[in-house]
Amino acid sequence: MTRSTIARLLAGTCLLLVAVVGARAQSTVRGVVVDSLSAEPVIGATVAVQRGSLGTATDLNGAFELDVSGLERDRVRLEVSYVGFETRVVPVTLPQKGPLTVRLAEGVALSEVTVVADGLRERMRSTQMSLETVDARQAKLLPALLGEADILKTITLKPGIPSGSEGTSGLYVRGGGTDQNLIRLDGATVYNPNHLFGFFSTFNADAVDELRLYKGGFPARYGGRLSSVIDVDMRPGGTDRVHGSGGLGLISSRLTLEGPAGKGKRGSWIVSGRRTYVDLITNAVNKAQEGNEDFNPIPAYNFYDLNGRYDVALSERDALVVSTYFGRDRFGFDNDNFDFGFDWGNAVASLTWRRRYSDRLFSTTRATFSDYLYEVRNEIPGFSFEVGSAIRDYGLEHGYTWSPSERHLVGFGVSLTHHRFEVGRLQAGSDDGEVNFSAGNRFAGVEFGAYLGDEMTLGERLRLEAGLRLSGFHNDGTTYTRLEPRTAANYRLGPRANLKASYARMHQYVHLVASAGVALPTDLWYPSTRRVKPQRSDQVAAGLSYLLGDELIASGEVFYKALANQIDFVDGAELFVNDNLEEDFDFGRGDAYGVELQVERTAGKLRGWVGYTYQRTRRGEFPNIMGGRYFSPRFDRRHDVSVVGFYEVNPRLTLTATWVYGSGDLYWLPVGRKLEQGNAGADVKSIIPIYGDRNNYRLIPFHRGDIGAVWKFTPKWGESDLTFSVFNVYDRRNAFFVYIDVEYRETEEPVVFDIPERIVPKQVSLFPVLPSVTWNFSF
Amino acid sequence: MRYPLAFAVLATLLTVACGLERDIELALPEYEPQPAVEAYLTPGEPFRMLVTRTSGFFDPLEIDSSRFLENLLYEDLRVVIRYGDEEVVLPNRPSLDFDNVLAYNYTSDAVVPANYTDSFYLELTLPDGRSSTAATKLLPPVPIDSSVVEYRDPLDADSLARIFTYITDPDPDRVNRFRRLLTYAPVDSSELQDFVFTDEQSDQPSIPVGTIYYFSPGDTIYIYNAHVDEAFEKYLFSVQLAEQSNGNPFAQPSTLLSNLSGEANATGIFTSYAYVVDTVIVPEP
Repeated sequence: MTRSTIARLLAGTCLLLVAVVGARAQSTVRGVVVDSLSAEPVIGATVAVQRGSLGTATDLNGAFELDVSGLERDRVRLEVSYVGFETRVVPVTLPQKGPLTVRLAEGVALSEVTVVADGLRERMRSTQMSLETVDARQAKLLPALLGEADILKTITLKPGIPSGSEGTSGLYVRGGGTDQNLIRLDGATVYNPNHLFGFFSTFNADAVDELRLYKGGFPARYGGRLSSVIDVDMRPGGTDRVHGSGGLGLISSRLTLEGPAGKGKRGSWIVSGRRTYVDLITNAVNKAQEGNEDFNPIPAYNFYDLNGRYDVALSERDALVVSTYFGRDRFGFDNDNFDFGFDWGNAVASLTWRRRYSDRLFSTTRATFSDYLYEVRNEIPGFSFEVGSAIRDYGLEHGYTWSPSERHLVGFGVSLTHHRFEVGRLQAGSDDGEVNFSAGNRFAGVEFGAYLGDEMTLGERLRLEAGLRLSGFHNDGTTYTRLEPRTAANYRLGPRANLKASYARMHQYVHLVASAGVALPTDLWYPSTRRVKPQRSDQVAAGLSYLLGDELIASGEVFYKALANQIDFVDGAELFVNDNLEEDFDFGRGDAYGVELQVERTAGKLRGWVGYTYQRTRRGEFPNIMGGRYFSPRFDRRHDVSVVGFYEVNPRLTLTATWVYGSGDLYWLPVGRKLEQGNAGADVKSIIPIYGDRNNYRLIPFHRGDIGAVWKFTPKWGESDLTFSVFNVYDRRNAFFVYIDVEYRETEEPVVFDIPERIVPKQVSLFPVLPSVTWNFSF
Repeated sequence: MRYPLAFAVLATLLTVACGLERDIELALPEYEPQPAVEAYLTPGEPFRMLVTRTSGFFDPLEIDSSRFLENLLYEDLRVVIRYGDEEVVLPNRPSLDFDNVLAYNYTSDAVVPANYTDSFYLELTLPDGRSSTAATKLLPPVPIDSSVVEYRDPLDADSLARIFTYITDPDPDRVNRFRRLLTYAPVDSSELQDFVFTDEQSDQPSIPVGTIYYFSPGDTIYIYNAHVDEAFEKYLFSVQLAEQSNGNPFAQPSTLLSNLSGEANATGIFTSYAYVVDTVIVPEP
């Protein structure tokens, strides 16, 4: 699709909007739902007409709007509910004279097996499209690798969000790369959301509440990444009493403590920790085998997360939230000859102050801190080296939500982030100082943004969101400023069908410099510079939602995304320690398009969804890669299917199952071979692979079925459950990677070069059938 | 057994994890064989080069076939090297460097001049008229000033030794590249070290390059120091990347970064390769 095609699509969208503007007003109920304690907006609360089929859910500002004109009543009773809060029933006389404020108090939670997800009606009426949400309860119910509930992996079961290779957490949203996702934990950026090379994410399901992923139609308040925004909310602590919860799993244990804080329980606190203990087992094995010369010691590995959050209501109008996260992966291996260590992890913190000036005006002020680093160090007798990279941010943002009338919801604000980069820092030398060398670069940059957006109701059928973001970046005398228009529209075709469309331009000023393969902790972040221009994306999307009854919704979206200033490495690039890294960059373009379909059931004993995505993506016009020709990136997954089911047998037992299918990932395999004689002193190599076009081989299709069960029981001291999980239940051997093995002739006499006898392609899989059980408890 | 639970868990995992690697059938894209050139100009040595034929990755190996060399070596190329007003034609004439066990199939009796500073041009032409070209300039050899053996603990008879080699930066005003090769034997031993470093990595005129404590008394070590250009550095690194990335899902493969271009679609390297070698016999501590 060309730029002119995009322009035509945009023009078409605008014509559609013009055609329906001016429709008549209707009977609606508007309001906001807030926490009675903290005055904080309650996001995702369900607002429904009691004993009726009409309903909606609150948005990110706690606001809701419900069209009740079809009821032809003078008075309605709204039932307002949210997990962890007491449900309130609020009578409203029509027509409503002013916005309603509903204050929810914490109390009896809904059944844990209730799948909240998106409210069906909210999904129908909201201008926000391309939004997927998943909450921690869903993640905990679903079967998971080694029983580790993972909210980030759960979101990949939604259409349009294919994950990377089997078991990894890399997200390739609508043809984007893993670096093109803005991941925020309570507003602070998380630069690397992975543990153990991506097999697990950094989000402890006990500590987080909900994850929202925007694939497109980005609101103007978001910026900085091309392909998605992933907002993860940490869970506030309970306010009734001090209590705890936790779990014992196959590879990790978790413990969470929470309780009220401050006078009159005006606040709450929560701390949560998780640690794997595989290293304790391997250390024990190593110790048991001490003295056994045939035994190779097993390296030690563990990861841990610590989350904390403190909420306090400073007054009737002011609330403060402090959130922190600290996590590390630690890999170590040592013996008499060396001491090797590899650590990486994130530290993030945010301080959020929300102020309610009136029922129509709110502000949010937030200070954030983010830090990601990795360090590889090795000490051998007489010599040591240490290599690492890091990025550290200090951010400040201030924004307002203002509802000047029933037809407008305006948002505006500013943000500023100071980035500090350490790229490829290397320090190496001998103990006596005879050899000593260092390398690496340091950069600093300032990223800034200002936005203004308005969500407008234009008649009874049309809602329109229009916004503009000014973004920019300054680094070492180079300043970029860019305008990013955003718009989204929702047109109600009838009581059961809505049509949506959106356009968003995004810019990205910091870039993850990674090889084309698997996401690694050693991938490093690099700023825009004079040569490295900001990446840009333009995405148009259109979608249709259709209500198939009160419990079933079908939705479909098509999208096209054009990418500019994409970064890739030239062949032969030195990725690890390179003071002139930019010399190995190449810059090109890309695009992606696709269709996403989903049918979801959100109520009843059997709930879940079936999703399908068809997608194509490509990169090209890199002057030094394949002569500028286009090629498919490794994650160009054409077909992606996910089936997710929850079946509540009874209040104590829930059965779950997932099945996923995807076209195989692309892989870059050699096409030819050559003999390399080399020079005096060098080894003659009988087979050197010759690589041709990139990503020239598609692995076998990927599919896998997982099943699980959650069985609840009630001991005397609290509540408890056993979560059973069988990962890869039918033992599918999916391809993690393939390689070509060369078997050489065995000779008794020394030879000038090894004589190849057989060339054998091999496929390596990671996971066979993996059963697990986790015991969860609360007290 | 002291840790029965740990062993049970590991044994269970290992049992279910077996069979995760298997042979498969692969259908790779079509591949057209290319001439692969290894042409190194060493001052004082004859003009000579090896031109082999590449093959599809799964083509039969035929190592024991009588047609092996016939398939491997190009016999009907026209190979010319020009410099200044000189034109050196390299006929298809196999020869062998017995000292280093290196073979060539295009050789000339003409000798690479030692002090020629302008460019050398290679032209290689296939029988169908398609040709590839490349250019390079000579670089002078840079001697090894000294090689020093140091024991970690000279008083310990079991202590291991390391070797430091020192060279002098020949021209501090420009970037000089050196290939370091270190091996137990010049012919039938794999390299212990093989990398390219630059004089930028040291701020002293004397550049030290060392090993870890690895060697024992009586070890004989061959240390090669070759003065190379950027084209060779890129080519060697791409060869190493290509070799290492097959079988490593975390590695970034690379095409071969050849400095040959043209319609003959030749790959390989045409470059200056001036080297010195130092032999070190590790003494007793």
